[in-house]
Amino acid sequence: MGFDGIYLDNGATTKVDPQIIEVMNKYHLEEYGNASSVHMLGSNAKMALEKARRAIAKSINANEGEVIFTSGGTESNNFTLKGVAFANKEYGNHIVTTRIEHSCILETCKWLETQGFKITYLGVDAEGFVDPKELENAITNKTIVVSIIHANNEVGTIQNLKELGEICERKKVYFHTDACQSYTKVELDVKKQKLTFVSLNSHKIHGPKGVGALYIREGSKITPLMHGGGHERGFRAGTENIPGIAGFAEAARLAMDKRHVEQMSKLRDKLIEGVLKIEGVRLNGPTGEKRLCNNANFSFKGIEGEAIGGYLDAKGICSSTGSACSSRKLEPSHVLKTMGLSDEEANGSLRMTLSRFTTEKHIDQTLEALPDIVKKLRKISTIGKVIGRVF
Amino acid sequence: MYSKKVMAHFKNPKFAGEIKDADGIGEEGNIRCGDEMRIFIKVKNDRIDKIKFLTYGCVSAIAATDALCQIAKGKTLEEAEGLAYTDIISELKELPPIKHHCSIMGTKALKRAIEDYRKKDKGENKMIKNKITAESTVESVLKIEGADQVLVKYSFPCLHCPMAAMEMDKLTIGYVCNAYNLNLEGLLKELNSLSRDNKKSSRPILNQRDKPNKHKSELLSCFSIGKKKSVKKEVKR
Repeated sequence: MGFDGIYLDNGATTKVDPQIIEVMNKYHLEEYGNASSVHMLGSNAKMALEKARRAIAKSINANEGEVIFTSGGTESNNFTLKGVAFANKEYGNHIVTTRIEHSCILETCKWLETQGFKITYLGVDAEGFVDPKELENAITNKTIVVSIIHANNEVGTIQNLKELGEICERKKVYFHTDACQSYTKVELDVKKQKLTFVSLNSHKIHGPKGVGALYIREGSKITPLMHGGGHERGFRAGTENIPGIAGFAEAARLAMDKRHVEQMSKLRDKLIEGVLKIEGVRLNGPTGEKRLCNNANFSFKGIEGEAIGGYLDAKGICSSTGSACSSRKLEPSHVLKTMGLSDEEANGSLRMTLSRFTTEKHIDQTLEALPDIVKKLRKISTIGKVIGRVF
Repeated sequence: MYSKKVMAHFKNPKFAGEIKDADGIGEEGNIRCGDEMRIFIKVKNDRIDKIKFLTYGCVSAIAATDALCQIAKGKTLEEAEGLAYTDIISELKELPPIKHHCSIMGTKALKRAIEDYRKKDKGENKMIKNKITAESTVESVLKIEGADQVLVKYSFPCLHCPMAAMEMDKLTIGYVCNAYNLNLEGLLKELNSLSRDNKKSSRPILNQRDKPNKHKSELLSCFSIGKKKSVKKEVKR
């Protein structure tokens, strides 16, 4: 029996589209050859691989030879930062990134610091935007790469990549973006946005988990993490995950339909409007076109996000939170804290992320369930009572 | 992530709420890590008769505190104090290791509530045992319900004097009675009968920190100006 509740955690991962499963099954059950083999089954696999590569490359206005497949966003991000850092030591040891990156960028940077690299972490404004001037000032003659997340996974802030990319181009440094959340939802054009590296993944767009891609601009210096049989033009050894890759390409093709973005934006705005009617709630992040079409993030006064999520879950509604309770480090969300939220605001945060399978009914049911949950939790919270506030 | 038992306590916390006239209140936690809990207890015959909690916190914080209340209810204070977070975890069947601190916080809050109760209780009992004497301070006596009326009856000055208000904790009953020639014996007798009747309504008070006579030289009110006699006259006029 499948899940028949309301899934509003598409920022974490998505349901795989049944159409995609069909494509994948073909490469699991029929065309299961190794793309390196010379026989027919092998060359069929190779053809599927190159077809997928062409499709992904085209979707971001890249050349076919500039895309390699990886195991997902985390690998693509690790590969870019470590690969670029170690391949370009002669040019410098400085990397610029932001405080609102996904932890796979931040943890990689932390590790690189132990290897003698210097990292500058840019802050953001209250809505989560990087200040281009700050970026310009942060780049030194030792800087080798700038890495800035395209659309933030927690609050959905979409950075102006074109403006930031032009600065990097002018300063002659590599420009990487983690586009795992934004891919197919926001325009990505590696030429227009002056990108040198782009991390993509499949499972946020209804494709299978364990597959991703990295755009590497022709001629860029990067050293591989995986050494082996020379797969992926020597950038990434290991037998290619053909079913996954074919599924990823199919997922991208299906997701490119502009109507999905329109529908998600409409429902997102309905959700935001409805939730803000509850007293003592704030929206975290920007509104309108500068916000990812499927992201809503709120802070509720006096109550804790994981508990809200717990009651929603009990009603069959999946969400997520930036509260300390839910993190492995027991620290409130670094993104919300960087945006200037207090501990209480960050701990009271709730993220709801939509997909093209989200319906208006889902949003209505969520809006119906939420006010009672908030009321119930506020009633048993210590907080309103300490300071004598009545909600 | 959570066991069925955790979800059951979380979804329907039977002990959530406040006890307005609690005998003891204990608090633990901080907002940074996202948990804060407060436990209220009512004590009867040295046992926890009623127990309630408020929590700002996550699923496991709410569930663990509720489970703790369930376990602690009916236990003697000593038994309740001895509860460990492992008792809560075994009631919940399972709690992710990273959430164990939620249950530890609950036991700490309960210990504090019991401590709070004992402090109050001690104060009340002490008042009965060590009845009000000439050495009791005006401040401590005024905390007893009805004491002000008895003092007025005995023409006790100082009650409306702003200077005296600043040093109620230094002025002793005996000192004032002596200075104003009041009936100390009768006053003490009436005050003591009062304190026995009203032991429940009073806050912990009396004696420990009142060191009679020691601060007399520092007194600010009329007692510190000039000689006793002139003060007496002034007041009598």
